[in-house]
Amino acid sequence: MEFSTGISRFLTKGTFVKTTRAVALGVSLLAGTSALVAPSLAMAEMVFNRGNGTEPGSLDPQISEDVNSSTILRDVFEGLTAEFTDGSLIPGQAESWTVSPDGLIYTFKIRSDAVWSNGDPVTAQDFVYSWQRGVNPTTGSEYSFLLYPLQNAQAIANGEEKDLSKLGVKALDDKTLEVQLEGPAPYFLGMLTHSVAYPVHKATVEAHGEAWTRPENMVSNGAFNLIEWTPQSRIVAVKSDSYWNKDSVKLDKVVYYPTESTTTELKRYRAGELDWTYEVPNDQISWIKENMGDEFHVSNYLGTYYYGFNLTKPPFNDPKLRKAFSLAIDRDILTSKIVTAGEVPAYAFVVPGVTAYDAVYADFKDQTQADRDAEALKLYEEAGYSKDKPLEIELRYNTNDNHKKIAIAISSMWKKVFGAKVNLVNEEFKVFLETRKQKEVTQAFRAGWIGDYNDPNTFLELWLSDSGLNDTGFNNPEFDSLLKQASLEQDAPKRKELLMKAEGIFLESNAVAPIYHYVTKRMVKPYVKGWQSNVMDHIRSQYITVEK
Amino acid sequence: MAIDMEIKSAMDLEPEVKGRSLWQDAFRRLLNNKASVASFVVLITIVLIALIGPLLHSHPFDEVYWDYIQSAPDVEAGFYFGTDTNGRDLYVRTLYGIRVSLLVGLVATGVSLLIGVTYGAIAGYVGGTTDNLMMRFVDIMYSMPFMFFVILLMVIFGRNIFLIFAALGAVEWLTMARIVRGQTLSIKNREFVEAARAAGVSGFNIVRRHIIPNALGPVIVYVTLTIPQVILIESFLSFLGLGVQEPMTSLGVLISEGAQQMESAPWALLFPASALAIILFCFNFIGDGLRDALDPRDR
Amino acid sequence: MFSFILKRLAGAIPTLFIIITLAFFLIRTAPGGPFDKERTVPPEVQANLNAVYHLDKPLYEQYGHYLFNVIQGDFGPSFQYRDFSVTDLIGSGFPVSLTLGLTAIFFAITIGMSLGAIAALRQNSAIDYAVMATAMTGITIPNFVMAPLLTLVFGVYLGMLPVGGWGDGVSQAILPVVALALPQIAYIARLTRGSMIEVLRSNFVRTARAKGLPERVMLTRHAMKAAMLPVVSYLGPASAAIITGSVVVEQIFSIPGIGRYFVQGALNRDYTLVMGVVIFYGTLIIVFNLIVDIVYGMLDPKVRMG
Repeated sequence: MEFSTGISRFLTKGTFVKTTRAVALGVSLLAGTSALVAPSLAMAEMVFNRGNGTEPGSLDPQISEDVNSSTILRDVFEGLTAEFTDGSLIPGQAESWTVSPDGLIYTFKIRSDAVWSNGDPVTAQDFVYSWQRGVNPTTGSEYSFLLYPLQNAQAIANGEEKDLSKLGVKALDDKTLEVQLEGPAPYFLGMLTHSVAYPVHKATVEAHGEAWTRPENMVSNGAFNLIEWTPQSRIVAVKSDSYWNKDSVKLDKVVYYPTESTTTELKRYRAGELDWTYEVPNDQISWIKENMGDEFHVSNYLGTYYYGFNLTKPPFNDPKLRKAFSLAIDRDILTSKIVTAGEVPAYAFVVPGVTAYDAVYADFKDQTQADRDAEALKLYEEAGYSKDKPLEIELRYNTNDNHKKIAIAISSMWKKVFGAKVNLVNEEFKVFLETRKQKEVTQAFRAGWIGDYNDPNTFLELWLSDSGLNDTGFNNPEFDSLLKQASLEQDAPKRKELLMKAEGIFLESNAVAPIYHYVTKRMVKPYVKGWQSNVMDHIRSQYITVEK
Repeated sequence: MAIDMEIKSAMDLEPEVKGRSLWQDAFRRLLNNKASVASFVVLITIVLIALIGPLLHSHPFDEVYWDYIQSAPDVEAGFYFGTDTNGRDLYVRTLYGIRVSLLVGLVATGVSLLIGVTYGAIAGYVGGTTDNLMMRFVDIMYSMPFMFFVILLMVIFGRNIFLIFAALGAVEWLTMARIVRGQTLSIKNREFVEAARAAGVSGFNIVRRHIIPNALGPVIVYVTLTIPQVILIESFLSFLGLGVQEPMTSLGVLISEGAQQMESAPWALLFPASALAIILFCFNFIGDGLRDALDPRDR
Repeated sequence: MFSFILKRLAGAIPTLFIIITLAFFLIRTAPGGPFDKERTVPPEVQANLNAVYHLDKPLYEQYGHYLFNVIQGDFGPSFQYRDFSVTDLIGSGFPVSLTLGLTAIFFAITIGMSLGAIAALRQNSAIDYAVMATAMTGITIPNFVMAPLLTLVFGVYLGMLPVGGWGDGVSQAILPVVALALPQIAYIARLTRGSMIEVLRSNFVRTARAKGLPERVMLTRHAMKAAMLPVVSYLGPASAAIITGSVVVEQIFSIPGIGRYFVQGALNRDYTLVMGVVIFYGTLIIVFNLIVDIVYGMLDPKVRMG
């Protein structure tokens, strides 16, 4: 057909296809029998069609910063450590490691059978190169700060130290890597599963520049190899023959579909084009639960949705008022009627269940909502307002249906309890981020935080007085010093105590009103097996099987 | 330019009739056009309902009814059109949406009318190099990716209903200016204009008193077609999340929200979409009727 | 003719220059930058990023730098899709948008004009009303309602056609083409009907009829040609818009065209991508306006090109 050849010609022109035998076969079959050969191909090999949110920003491990590219990178690359299906830490490219008694020196032994997809062995030098690349200012890595536990990392990133070799990582021999930390960081091993700590193949990066991540150029060390990347359409990876643990990999091929609209993603899933969705549309959750509840999977996620208050300006520089507004949010109604996937009402900032931690809650957690409302009203009046002399505030959020729904619901609660006048201000995302950061006009605002790694530190360090993420202006020397002490503390129980005390102080201030803890929610076909929900939502295709 | 040619050639054919009798004739013909008259009646009714309806209904447009989240139309409870995902009454919200959408349509068209007519009349009347430069500018503006600039403006200055008016008006005035200029060119050499000029009437007054009133026919037709277009653009902006601020709403916002849940809550799409369709239908019929009525060759 | 085209193309250069300048400074006035995320990066990392992309230089210098590069055909790297240059992204997306757009325009013209002509010939008959009512409905239902409705019915309920995606066969193109073509069919049918009625009343048709020219010959050879004029002038800008992709259709059918980059680029402050798409689109509009004028000249002997 004239039309179809036209399309396929355009496709190959605009696509970055690596012509391996598998693809060449696919293309020739496609051309030979016109359309829709895909199903019969699927019979022959095990293909996993994975919905993957928006188009990944980058598949360069040191540059990637978004969730959707991380998902792909976890399949295509592997760090020194890795995670099993339940999210527990397992050895990756390193077969073993030792830690010095003071917790400052880690020595990793890299597997002898760890090789790159082009056959080169993965060496300790590769890691040295990659981590130096991660903190090198000219790389432009957004997540370089995750490597800050390494000695001199921050100094290199901010340009004080020009000599990259001063970074606290060196190759003792081809397969032995020694890492020197600034201070004890119990989350360090877990952080190594983040893409910024993955190795990259030096020769490839240097030969191709920014285009090294194209399928035709990329050399990787993970369970799958990239073979196609058509922006906004799909990314295809096939099982790697060179991966050290290739026997654990059952899939022949993973196809990642970037799908911006969750409604579209759900339809593609229902039409059988996807086996797995990245998300589900919030508006349709009750419908989904009713009609396809068996395939709907919800699980806790390491994140907190909250409203922040601007502590630097009236009216929310008054702690009583902040507490009143936090108390008046009926989190149970909100999570049962507005966000309905199974989100957990939040009374803490650090997500309960995070490792090495015991949850700390706000003091009103066990009160009934009626008691909370009564106390809220009392505090509101003590702050100098009343039904007759109502407070008028702005509640700011960024353009998004979910944020909008929540803002409408909460403003209605505030109106009901206080008679306060709440003006909703909806700003486009980047404008919103800017206003929030400036702390000039903001009063109450929406925010959310997803932990970078499974440790309370990733939640609490936000509220250091000098943190760039501290959009509330919370400034408490005791909190700062507790966190500082914790970062130097080598004794795990003591560290935990310090961090819990810090969170207690933070919650006491009511600088933020935690609303709910995030959940991941997705549709998964029943024939997709070998996966488990975990708090980081790191689900590697490596362990998945598709048994149609 | 192509469109100018079209308009000019159309105007060449127009017989020279005195303004008043032309309008009377046109009005008579318009009354004979049943579709137009019916549309006019329907439109007025809709406007009245949108203005009065909320006053007669006990539900405020921004009240959250916690027990009626996303519930189907229920006449007994007073939710004639059902509720949205926040449990707000969609009947009242649809009426508010009609108000806002019509307002956006009217004001934006008004803005485009103001700029377009002034600009076009000046260009056409002054003529020569000025005309050339002014129309060159319009050509340049035509090559602008306008939707993109509108989006950028919304992004920079935030979601402001007045900005929507201004931005959409700024997009729509170009064609208006071309139409008026074409008309002006054909009118300005007529006897009555020459006479006025000979009598020493100032250029400004000639444009205001003679040119603009005589160029009005095609302009009115264009206006009735612009209003629905603006309403549609507004709904497109709403789809992109750049619509009016909550808790205010527009038909565009309601429809794009409804489209997200067309399966789980069809009522949320059905009612606002029907309202939009009816309004657009009406404007189109009225526009067609006016065009026929103002077309002198139909006599 | 040739010199006319050359003259017009030369005239396009200042237009493009104005577009570039306006867009460049407008997007830079927008608050926030390309690397602002929910997770704010530490200040030193932000500074490094700005340095890597030369965003730390004064604005006029960046502008000069940008103009200089554009003249050489280099549109720079994308800030959002950091592995790709803007040229890569447009190069991979445009063929898709073009294929889709041209197909939709082809159907819009053939179906729209036929319907419009039929309606005009049977003015005020049941057929006329039916066609016009359908056309009007096509206009009044926004794309973002029609497209999901189509996918729901034909993709999910009937399972006849794929819901989304691109590049795996013709069937994936059917629904998006329909969604793109529908409103255009409606507009074109209305335009054709209007001008056709006018043409049928005109003197030359009356003369032709009086002379006994067969109705069919008269219609296809003369009336249709004259009736096409307004359609042609409508199609110019409309084609440019359709070919550069529709955000709505691309998003709903997950099609990898370039329409989405307009909106995404602006929202993400992907300065270079936005500029690239704006320049690309501006050029297309200019070219299409030129084509319209040429076609117009061929159809209407009254218009002479000078």
